Amino acid sequence: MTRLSVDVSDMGERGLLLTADGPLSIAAQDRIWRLASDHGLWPGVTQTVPGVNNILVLFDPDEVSAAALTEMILETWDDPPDAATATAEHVIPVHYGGDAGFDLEEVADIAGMSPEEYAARHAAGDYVVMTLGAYPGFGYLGGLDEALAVPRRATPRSEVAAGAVMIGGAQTAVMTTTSPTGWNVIGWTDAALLDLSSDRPSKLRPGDRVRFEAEVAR
Amino acid sequence: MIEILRTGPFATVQDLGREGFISEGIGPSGAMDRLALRRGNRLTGNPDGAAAIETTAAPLELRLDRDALVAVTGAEGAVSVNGAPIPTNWAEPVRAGDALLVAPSASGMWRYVAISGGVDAPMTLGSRSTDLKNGFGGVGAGRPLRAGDRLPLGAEDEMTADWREEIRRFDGLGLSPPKDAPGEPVIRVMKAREHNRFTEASREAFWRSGWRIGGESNRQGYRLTGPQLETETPMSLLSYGLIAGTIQVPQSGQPIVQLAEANTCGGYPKLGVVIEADLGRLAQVRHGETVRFRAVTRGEAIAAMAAEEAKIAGVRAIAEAVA
Repeated sequence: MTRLSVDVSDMGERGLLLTADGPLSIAAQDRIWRLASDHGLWPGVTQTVPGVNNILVLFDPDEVSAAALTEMILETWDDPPDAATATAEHVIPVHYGGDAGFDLEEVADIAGMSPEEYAARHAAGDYVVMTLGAYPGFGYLGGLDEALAVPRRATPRSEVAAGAVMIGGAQTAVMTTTSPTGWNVIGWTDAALLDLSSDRPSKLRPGDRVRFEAEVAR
Repeated sequence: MIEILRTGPFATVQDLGREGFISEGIGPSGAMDRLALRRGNRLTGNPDGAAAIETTAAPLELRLDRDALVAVTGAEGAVSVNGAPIPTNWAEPVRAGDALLVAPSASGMWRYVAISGGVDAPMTLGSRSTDLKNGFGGVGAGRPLRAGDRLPLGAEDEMTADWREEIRRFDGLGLSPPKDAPGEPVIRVMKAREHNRFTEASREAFWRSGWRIGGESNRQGYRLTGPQLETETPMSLLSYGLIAGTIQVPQSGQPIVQLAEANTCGGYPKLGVVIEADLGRLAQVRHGETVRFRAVTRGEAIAAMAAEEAKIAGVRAIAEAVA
């Protein structure tokens, strides 16, 4: 077994951050998802937050000492639990361009292709939820065709509506709340990815696969 | 029922926040000064997690439609019932129809109005807290209170009702408010992973300088202004989970401390994390005032919080002795 080297650092008295050294790797990320998927792995843990190449473990210092927990986390890292519960696949219908995808023409122009080609290549991609964050239920999707990567906007918009399908650098995502963002809006979906009445509000989970399906323009 | 007669733009319903959803992009929110909220709840016979009204720089006036115990904790400032002043950190029995006026904070930032029975706003993900950034919780779609709002009040339990009557005989029940030493507050911090990636000069500047709470500070976080800080080499990290208290340094070289409505993930290098016992003390520092930071170990941080817990337990002990 290849040893992926990691370090554990403090995040306040109730937090430990395990970070995998080196560049982003799917092997490390897979291990992080497996560690994060089972809250019962370690005693005294109140919450685990998988990041990209790292996992934040929040705990109650009355229940477990930081030293003991560090040791347990490192042991689990070397001998992780079996693959997390089966990951889901989501198919998200998208209306590309038009009034609701107002940046598509500009973004396609930067990428040096027609809006139609840009949308088709975006819809042809096979994406993985790398991590959730920034907004409730907001999944950072990896796997964007390199040719489609365009920088975020120099001036963020103060409000982009929930449902916006966006490009930010080498990542793509769906807006889940109406919020400010500097990402480029290329389309719109009515897929509901956030349900605040559920105890698992985010429909996307880290490691899930996502595909986009172009809907006929309205 | 609580009727809001007058309020500024920053009064919200808050409790101790929602736990367990950072990994879904949803932070805890909740009171900026959780210890102050808990003191208010203990004084009014509520569980620690009951929701109260958090208010700051504008007058808040309200009326209840039933008898209740009311306590105002947190930042200092005037409080009156029907025009007669009452102390802060004080359980005051009020009658249905009385008008409670909570003046803008005179020193410090955040004031808590705890009412026996608690504010019974709807629960979202296990909390009644308003999440202003994401627009949910509290009243409406996570909005601040407005004049004319009517908030449901939870039922007092039997013990609290008895207690209220006992307290009425004593003409109220008070606590001495927690006092900070004079001068700039010293906020205790545990070093975080990138601390030693900052230049020696930057590290020294961070621990030795006074830091002014800058403009654009709000429930999400406070901006600190002071010397420029930089890492040995520019750093952009892969996204990691964030918690309240995390001190990050973006390219501007001026630190940001995450607070109650902390972002759930970030990529700036982090210098440290403010210990739990001092989060409320930092939140209470007004814009334009300065603070200093002091490094502590995990053991010291845990002991500091244990000392705060003992003080909170003392509030209950006094209250129980009276009832």
